[in-house]
Amino acid sequence: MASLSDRLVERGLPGVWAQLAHPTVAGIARGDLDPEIFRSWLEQDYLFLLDYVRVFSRLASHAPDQHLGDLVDLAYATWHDELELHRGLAAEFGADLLGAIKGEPCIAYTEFLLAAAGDYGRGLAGLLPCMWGYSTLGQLLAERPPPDPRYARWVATYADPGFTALARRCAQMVDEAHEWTLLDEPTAIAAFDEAMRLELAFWTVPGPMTEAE
Amino acid sequence: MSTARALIASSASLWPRVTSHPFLRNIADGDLDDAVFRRWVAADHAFNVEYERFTAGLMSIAPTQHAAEVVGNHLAPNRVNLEVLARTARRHKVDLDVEPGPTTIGFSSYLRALLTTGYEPSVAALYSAEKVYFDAWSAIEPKTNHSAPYWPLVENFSSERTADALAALTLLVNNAAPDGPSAAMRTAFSRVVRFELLFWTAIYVGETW
Repeated sequence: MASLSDRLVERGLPGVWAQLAHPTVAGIARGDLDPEIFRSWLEQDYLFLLDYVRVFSRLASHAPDQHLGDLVDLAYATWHDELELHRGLAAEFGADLLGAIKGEPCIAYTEFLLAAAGDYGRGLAGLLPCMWGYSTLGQLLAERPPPDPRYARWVATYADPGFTALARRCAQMVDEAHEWTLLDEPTAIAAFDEAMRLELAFWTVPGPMTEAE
Repeated sequence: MSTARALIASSASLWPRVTSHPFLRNIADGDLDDAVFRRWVAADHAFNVEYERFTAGLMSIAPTQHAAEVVGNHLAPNRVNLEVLARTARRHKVDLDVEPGPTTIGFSSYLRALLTTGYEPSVAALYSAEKVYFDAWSAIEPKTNHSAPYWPLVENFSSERTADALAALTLLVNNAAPDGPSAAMRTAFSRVVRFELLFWTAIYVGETW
């Protein structure tokens, strides 16, 4: 029988296809995304990740012993590896990471995740769309890397086996939380679906995209 | 006087008890009883697991990203502490799967409960724990025998990395209350020093339920 995370991932696949078809992701894949849009995305994602680290630490503060180290490692990897990628790309795209202000999609997503992390199982299920979604997108895009080396670097980060391993561990933790009765399936589905919805909305960045609408 | 200095000054009477505690003196003199050593490894491992939860919780309520980063930088050394303790336990066949004693549970539960009172008392508690630990282990590090079974622990607790993390935390505490520590910060700081002393005593005498 498929595990809970398998069922969630199966459920989330249409959401990943929708992300792949989103103009921002499609532009990254082709390598011709307007750099202004990517700059805005970079700023929003930087702000998102700062709160994402807090989500991991909040979960760690009430995690079972078997998950505590993983969550601390995830917080650390996000802070030192993923944010480092953003800092590295910021100069190339003229992004103002320190002066940026959260747009509505970023506010909605971070508020949801921080609140969800108050309940251990719900918080874990809410993390899965980001971890698994980016890993899946990264692997799909890496099959034909974008010609622009800046976008190719971005794709390579999320296609990296290390990131895949983190995403797998996250899925495993969801299954373990379910097994240990810390997460029931309806709660997992509700948190997962909401995070998938917010994940897709996040690609519509403030500024260049929304002003054109 | 900075907030960090004011906190230390308010608990100044406790400091000589930190460095003169028989548990630490035995370590420095190289005559720590084997049973005490084994209780220490097990109790410190149990405490550090909870301490990691406390630090993660504090990071999640830090008022600024800078504060979250400084607090978060204590998570990695704590991971190292846990690894060194687990390695020491394996090498010397110390069972880590034992029920923690009342003081270990009391100390860690106090820290977890403190998080509900907010960031300032909690960061004062983190500072207190780190300061006591670093001062205590740095004081005995030069005297400790490098071939002693507990040398890796002493070396790790008094390392340069620990000193750097403590220096950043000192600035953070000063910035958290630029006009001086609140009563709640002083209480938290003092209670953690006293809990630390009780913790060592519990290990030393073999406290049981």
